[in-house]
Amino acid sequence: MSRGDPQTFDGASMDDRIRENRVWLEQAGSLVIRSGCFDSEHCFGSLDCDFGPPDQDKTENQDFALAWVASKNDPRSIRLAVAIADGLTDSRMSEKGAALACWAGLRNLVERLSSGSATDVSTGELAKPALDAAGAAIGRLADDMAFDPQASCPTGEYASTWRYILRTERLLQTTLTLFWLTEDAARLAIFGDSGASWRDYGSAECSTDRVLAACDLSTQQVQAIGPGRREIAVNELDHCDRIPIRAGSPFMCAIHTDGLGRIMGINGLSVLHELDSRRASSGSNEAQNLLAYWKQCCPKGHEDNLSLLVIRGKNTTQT
Amino acid sequence: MARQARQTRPQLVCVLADNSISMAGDKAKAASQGIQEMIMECQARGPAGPDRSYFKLLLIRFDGNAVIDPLGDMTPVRKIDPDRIQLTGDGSGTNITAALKMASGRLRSYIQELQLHAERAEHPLPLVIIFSDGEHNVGEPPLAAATEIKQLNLDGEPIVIAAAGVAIGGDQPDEKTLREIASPECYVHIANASALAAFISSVGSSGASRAKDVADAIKKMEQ
Repeated sequence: MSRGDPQTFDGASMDDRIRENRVWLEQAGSLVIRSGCFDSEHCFGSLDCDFGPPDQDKTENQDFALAWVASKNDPRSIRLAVAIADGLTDSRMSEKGAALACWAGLRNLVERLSSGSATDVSTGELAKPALDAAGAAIGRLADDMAFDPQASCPTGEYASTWRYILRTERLLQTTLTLFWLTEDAARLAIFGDSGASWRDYGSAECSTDRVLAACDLSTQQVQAIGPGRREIAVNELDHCDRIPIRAGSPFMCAIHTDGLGRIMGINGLSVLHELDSRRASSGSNEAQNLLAYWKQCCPKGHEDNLSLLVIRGKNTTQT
Repeated sequence: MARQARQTRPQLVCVLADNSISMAGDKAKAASQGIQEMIMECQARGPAGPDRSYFKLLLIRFDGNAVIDPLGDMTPVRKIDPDRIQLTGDGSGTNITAALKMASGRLRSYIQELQLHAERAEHPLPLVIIFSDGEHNVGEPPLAAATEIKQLNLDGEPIVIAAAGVAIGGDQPDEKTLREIASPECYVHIANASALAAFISSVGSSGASRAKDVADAIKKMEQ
């Protein structure tokens, strides 16, 4: 990629930056990108990134999500890894930032954890390098744009405003959430305002629900990775969790961006109830089905992109 | 209810800029920079697209008279090239009243339009920003015109005026009058050029509608 080439700061440049990560992840397992279902020997699930109500004040879906699943009989300890990102509304090209953060962050996470990790390392310490990799990828793109503002200036943007945006680093900013499964635990790391909830099915008669992370609906302020914030400290993560998994004990984890949090309001467990009550035939994208239903219920004035990841641990004791 | 700018309900920012000869040089440069950065910041808000302005600009230059800048005549900010906005400080006299009356005329009919707006309850109120380094010295005093503006309201919420007295290099602005023109706690004393630019850009792009929020924006700028 040559700097200063007017063609390299849009799709072509992004394709180059994503391709390397995509090739690596596809060689290491299988991918679901933005929308789809996955199924492995240990878990299954679905994800969807929906634009949301059509008449909202956005032109792009600034959410992005990826799921990586290990191949059958893969000896590595990491079995599933997902990334979900929400580009900031007021940040230029944040949809590109969200995509790049997911690709770079997920690749870093899977690659590092594939080589083994100490079980006593905290979730935050395991997640930080992936978040930093996401920040570095975004930072490199911003640096390349700033190297030649004239060539990188988006159509319709005044040159002086674009230089201002580059100078104040108000572009490509995004939240990032990572979730991954190993044999004995699920791990969740959130930088930003995503929400997550967990259902442990336990016995047939009784399940236990809890909100792992609630979206803070009281503020529009949110932490984000971006050109001005390429590295984070572990104690800056909005949420870290390690949930022990018992062999053969099924569970469900739902992770979503804040758009869905505004629809659910203060009841972060709604998504668990709705998913199980609507559970259709296997193979259907339950994340997509639920979002399609819920976006019609979006309260006026809170329209946003909607993204949902559903991960279900299998009851591996059943035959 | 929160009054928040959106494409369907952009906020009108009225900048009343002292362009008298005493503002020439560094002050005019700082004022130009402040207005340019305000426009750039306002352009950066909201999704990309030339027709998705979250702000509109009414720019009135005043010296002995007041004139609306054709680039900023209730213009959506994404239609304004910031580099084309320049103040030079080349007029004689300081007629703050003329600027306020000109703004009042535009705001009166604008507020009437907002009464019928589908999103009236969430529509941001117009914000008036005025800065001057001198004393009003042409025609009738400005307080009556300022009061007219502050009596304009949307659902009982009045338009806010933020005022800055520019005291750079020995200038002595009429702080008493400017404080009376300003809404409560919305006056700021400006002692250097960078503070003038910061006042215009940060308060103008704050998106604030209510006096308390404008005052908070001023405090934040001062810090």
